[in-house]
Amino acid sequence: MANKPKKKKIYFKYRRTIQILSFLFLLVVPFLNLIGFHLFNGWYQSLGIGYWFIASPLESFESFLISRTFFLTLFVSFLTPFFLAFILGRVFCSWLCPFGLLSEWVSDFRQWAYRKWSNYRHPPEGLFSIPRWVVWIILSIEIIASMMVGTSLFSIYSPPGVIGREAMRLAFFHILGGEILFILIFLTFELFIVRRGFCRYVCPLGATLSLFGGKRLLRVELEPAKCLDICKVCDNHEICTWGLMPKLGEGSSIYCTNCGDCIDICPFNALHFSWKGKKIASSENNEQK
Amino acid sequence: MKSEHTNSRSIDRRTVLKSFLTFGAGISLSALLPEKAISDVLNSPVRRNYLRPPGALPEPDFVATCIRCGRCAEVCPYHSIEPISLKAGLQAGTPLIHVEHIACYLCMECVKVCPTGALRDVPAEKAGMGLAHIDEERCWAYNGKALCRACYDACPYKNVAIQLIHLKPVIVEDKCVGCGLCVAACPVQIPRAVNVDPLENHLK
Repeated sequence: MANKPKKKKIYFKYRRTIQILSFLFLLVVPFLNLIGFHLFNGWYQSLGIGYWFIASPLESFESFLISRTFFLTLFVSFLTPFFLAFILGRVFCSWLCPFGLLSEWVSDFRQWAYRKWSNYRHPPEGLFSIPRWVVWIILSIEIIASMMVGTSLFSIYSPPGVIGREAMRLAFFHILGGEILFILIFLTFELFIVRRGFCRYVCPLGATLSLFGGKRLLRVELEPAKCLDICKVCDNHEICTWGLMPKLGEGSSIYCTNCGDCIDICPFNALHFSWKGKKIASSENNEQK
Repeated sequence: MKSEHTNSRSIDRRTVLKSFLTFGAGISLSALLPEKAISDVLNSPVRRNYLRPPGALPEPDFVATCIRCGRCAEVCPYHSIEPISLKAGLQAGTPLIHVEHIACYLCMECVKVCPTGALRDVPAEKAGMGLAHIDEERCWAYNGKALCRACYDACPYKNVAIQLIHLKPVIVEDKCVGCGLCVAACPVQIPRAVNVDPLENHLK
C-alpha cells in the first residue's frame, strides 16, 4: 500500500484526551482534598462525587464475599461501574484506566523500539504466547485466595488504585508507600515479555468488567461486504493493543474494550461501532476519497 | 469471509460459556472454605498507640471489608489517618492512626465517606478506637514530679472520660473512646505515661 489514504483518527483523539484527563484527575484530587475541597474524594477503587459513591466492582464483590455481610452503600456504589460495563462494555480499560494509558505508551515504545533496533517489520506480540483464558484462571485464583487470606488481595496491587493511592500519599505525607513497585513490575513485564500482558492476561478487574460486558449494547462490528480479504491492516497485531482480530469478528468478543483503534485505522470503513446491532454513523470526513 | 465471520461468533460464544463456567466453579469451590478466614497471615498492624479510625469494625472483619480506597485518609482534615505502606505486607493501604504522632480529633468525617461499611457511621461518643491507660509509675502527677494535667486538658470528654481525683488523672473506662489526644499531649516521652490500647474484642 504505497499511497495509503491518510485517515483522521477520530476515536483515538477523543480517547486519548479522556485518558489524559482521567490521569490528571487522579493527580489533582488529592491536592483538592488537601486544601479542604472534598467534593471529589478518592480514586478508582472508590470515588465519591458529592453523595454519589462509586466503588470498583471487583473489590466490592470481594469485600461482600469475604465479610459475608450486605452493606447497602457498597451495593449502590457497585451499580454505577456495573451498568457502565453492562451497557458500554469494558470501556474503563481503554478510556479511563490510568494504568491503561501508561501501558499503551509502553506498548507504543515497544513497537517503536522493535522497528528501530531489529529487522522485524511486524514486531511479535511477546516472547511466548499465552492463551486468553488464563485471565479467567487468575480471576478465580484471585477471588479464592482473597477468601482464604481474609482480605481483598486485588485492592493491594490494583494498578488504578495504586496510582491514586501513591498520588494521595505524595500529596499528604510526601512519601511513597512502595506499592508503586507493582506498577513498575507490571510495566516491565509488558515491555519485555508480552505486549500489554498485564491488562490482557492478568488483570482480574478487567476480567470482571469483561464478564459484565458480555451482552453489551455497544460493539465493534464488521461489514463483510466492505472488507477486503487481502487487507491485513487491522490483523497485523499492531493496531489492536489487545491482540484481537477485528476482521474475524473479534470486536464483538468478550475481550474487546471498545477503544475504536481498529475503526480508526480501517481504510475501507468496514468496521464501525454498533448500538444494539444498529450501525452508528461515523462522521463524514472519515469517508475515503 | 462471511462464513469465517459467523464461525468466530460461535467460537466466541463458547469462550464466554467457558469463562462463566470457570468463574462459577471458582465461586462454588470457595463455598467450601471455613467460615472464619485464616487471618494469621494478615498480621494486624493494630497495637498500642496504632489504631484504626473511629467506628471501625473489629479487626479481622475490618480488613475483610476494607477495600483500601483511602477516602477516609483523604477526607481527614488533620492528616491523622494514613494508609500504611507495603512494609505492612498484606495490610498495605489500610488506614491506621498513630496517635503519638497525630491523634484523632473525632470530627467523624471519615465514617461518612466509607463506602464499604468498614467504618460504621457512629456518633463520636461510640468511636470505640481503644482505651487509654495511665502508667502510674511514669506519670508526673502520680510520682510527684509535677502538677501535670496535660491529658486532662486535651481530652474531648473532660470530666466524663477522664477525671481529676486529688489532682491525679483517672480514666473512666466506660466513657473513653480511645481517640489518643491525651497520648499526643503527654509530656513524658517514650514511652508515654498514657497510652491507648486497642479494645480486646478488636483483636479477634
